[in-house]
Amino acid sequence: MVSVIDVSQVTYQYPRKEKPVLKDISFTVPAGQFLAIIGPTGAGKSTLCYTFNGSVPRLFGGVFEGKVAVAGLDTYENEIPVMAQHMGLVVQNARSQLFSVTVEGEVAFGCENLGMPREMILQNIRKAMEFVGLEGLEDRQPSALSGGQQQRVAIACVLAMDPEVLVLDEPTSELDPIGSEQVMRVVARLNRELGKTIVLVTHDTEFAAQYADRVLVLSEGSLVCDGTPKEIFKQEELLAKVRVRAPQVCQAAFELRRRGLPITGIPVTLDEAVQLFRGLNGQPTGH
Amino acid sequence: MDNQPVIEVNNLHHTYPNGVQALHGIDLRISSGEYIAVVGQNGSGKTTLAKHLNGLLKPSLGQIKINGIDISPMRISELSRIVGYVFQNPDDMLFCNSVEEEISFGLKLMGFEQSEKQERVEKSLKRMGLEQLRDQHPFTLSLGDRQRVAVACILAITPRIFVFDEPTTGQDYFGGQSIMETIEMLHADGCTILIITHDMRLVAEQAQRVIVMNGGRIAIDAPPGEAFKQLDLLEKLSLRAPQITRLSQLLGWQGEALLDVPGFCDWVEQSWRTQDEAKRW
Repeated sequence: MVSVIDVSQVTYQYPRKEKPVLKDISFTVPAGQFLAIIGPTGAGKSTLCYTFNGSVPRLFGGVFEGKVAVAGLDTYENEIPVMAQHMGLVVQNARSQLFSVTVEGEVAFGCENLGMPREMILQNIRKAMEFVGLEGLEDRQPSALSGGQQQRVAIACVLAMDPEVLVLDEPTSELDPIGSEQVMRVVARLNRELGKTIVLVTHDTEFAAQYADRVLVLSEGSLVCDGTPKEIFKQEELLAKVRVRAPQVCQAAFELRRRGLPITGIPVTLDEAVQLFRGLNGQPTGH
Repeated sequence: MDNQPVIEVNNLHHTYPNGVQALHGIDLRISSGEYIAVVGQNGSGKTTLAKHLNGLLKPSLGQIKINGIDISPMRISELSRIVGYVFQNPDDMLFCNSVEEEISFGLKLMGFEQSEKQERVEKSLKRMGLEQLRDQHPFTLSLGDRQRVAVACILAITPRIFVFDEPTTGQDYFGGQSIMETIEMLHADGCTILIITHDMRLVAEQAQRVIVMNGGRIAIDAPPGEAFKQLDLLEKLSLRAPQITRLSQLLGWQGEALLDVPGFCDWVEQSWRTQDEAKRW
């Protein structure tokens, strides 16, 4: 399978820091995969994302070893504007990346900087706005939108440039539950309908379990686990060790198994949990 | 016992200078020692409400009483002795060169004498488990430790009401757990707690009362077990019960919402054990 992200033996240390934040990380991401990266604060998740467009080490400096290629381009050797055509980065706090007085101007900005023809920009804006469900808000001020809408504007901004890969660094951590869900649905559709490769950094393991094809677990700069959500979230001890909270449905299965109930598998999504617990003894009775 | 509420909000309206009406007539009574979570979608007025409690915002209309006293003529510095406000980002309030200095700064501003100041600093360091870190520069600490320093600064002033603005946002599981323990400790000490949050697990597992804001009004004011029962209403208010609560409802649970994993497991275990042996396969 063609890989769109190729990370090979990457070790990186920020300037004026004593220890590397990434330690000998290698993995590849096939085109069209939905990858989630989880791990505690300080594990190196965001830093890893910054290597995908080369801002680590190009903007941050420091000591970088190994190689990262996105869409076949070495991110150390290619300038960030070149990489921006292949990977779009959406950060945790959308407000920090929005600055225009209109949503339309905001979404156009990246395309304008790439020197796209006017007609194409207008078309891309329209398609991107429609895709994230914000059509009709073109003339609004981004700062006047809700947090969830702002996050979707940020997604539209990178989508308008039509990159192969979208990297989202904790896009829902500041949003209310339904705003989060709306953002995640858009991300899932980018993957399924447009075939975009998705890298999602999140603390929300319930979202990771529901949407991702594959989960990487980072801890203290090292890649400690790599597998499907099912393979990752059934490992109660490992998760506790790296201080990651499993989805509540997994925790319930772990606990009931300890209490001696015949739990045959570990569900990772709500739907799977409904199936599993229904099968346990017919439907449990209410009250 | 006094039935007088510790916080009393009467017909509170707030309109920002740009004309945005953020609160439309809030009425609220909070008793001493309550643990309250204020939730609601982005822009529903949660933070606006909270900022009235420490005087950062003044009512456009209406009145707030704390311990029976109208707070509108009070200065922020006076109010901060009564209501401690912990910002979402501890870095918004940390700027000194050591943890100890940081904690004594507020006390110095309030004019405490040297001996009392030192005593308060020591107590606060101890209560927050920061004695080992007293000489550290706050910015060399982890986010969780910085958050504890921020709480320690406020704790030293010994307010009896604490407002936490999104205490677990951006934190991993361990960091979230640690701040939850801190809040629980303050609550156990008898403080009145008000948290603003999107973290429904925090609300379900800790709060005694949930206030759901919507469009500048209070839409629900109930204990979590009751609030999280109302799935359709919650959805309309852009909220969602924790996964385990939703799972129990999908499996047919109809009582007060089950709020945590042990509660869910108790129910499943019990109904499994009471099944007929024959039906059990």
